[in-house]
Amino acid sequence: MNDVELDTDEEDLIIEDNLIKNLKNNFTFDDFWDYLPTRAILKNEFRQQFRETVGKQAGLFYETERREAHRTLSNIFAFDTDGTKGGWLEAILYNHIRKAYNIEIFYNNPEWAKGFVKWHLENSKKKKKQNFIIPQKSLRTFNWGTKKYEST
Amino acid sequence: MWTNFIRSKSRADYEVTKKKWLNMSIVNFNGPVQAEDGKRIVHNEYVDWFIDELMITVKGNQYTIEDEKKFKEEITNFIYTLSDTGYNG
Repeated sequence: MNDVELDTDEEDLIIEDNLIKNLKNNFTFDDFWDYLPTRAILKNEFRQQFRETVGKQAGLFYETERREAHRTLSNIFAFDTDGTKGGWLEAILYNHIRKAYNIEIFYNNPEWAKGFVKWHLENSKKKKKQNFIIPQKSLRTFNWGTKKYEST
Repeated sequence: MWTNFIRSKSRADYEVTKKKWLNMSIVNFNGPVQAEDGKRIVHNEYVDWFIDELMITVKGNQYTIEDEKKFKEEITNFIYTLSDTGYNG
């Protein structure tokens, strides 16, 4: 046998590599955005990234300020007695930051886009099919003699 | 109610507007909070400093605030809502 046998790990890597190439070459940001499950992943990843960085740091900053204010009996943050309002601050920040969603996450985790690729393949097939459907009516001609439609 | 006797007066009791509150001094157990030069620190200054700190955090993590004016308004409202009346003088 001349063919070089590949073990499953190598095969998996080749399949994954091809999947990444396919995603990079054939799909734009809008394609990922228009498909609801990939849009949800993009939003979720962005929010998660935000929470782990700015959300966490701002929450810590607020809690330090609130504790210091309570320790010194300051009027600042006096109504947040149990320290539960940090989430409100995080929400203000999140609502005001520019949302720059990054499709790189699908190149790093191509398995997340499997459903998306499948959906696109099926959808494009349907679209192509639709292009070739010619209404039966348009294939008939009207015979003025008999005043009836006739099939061609 | 017993709580009425032990509860200190809050901002609502004085009907302090946000504009008025921003120009009032911050207070703690020592009375009005002062800067190193002896000048009283008003809420407006604290709010500005608080926003600056948040902006440093946001920019430091490569994020951008879309509408800074509106963002500042909401942060001011956040601090105002959660804080009691300061010292008027």
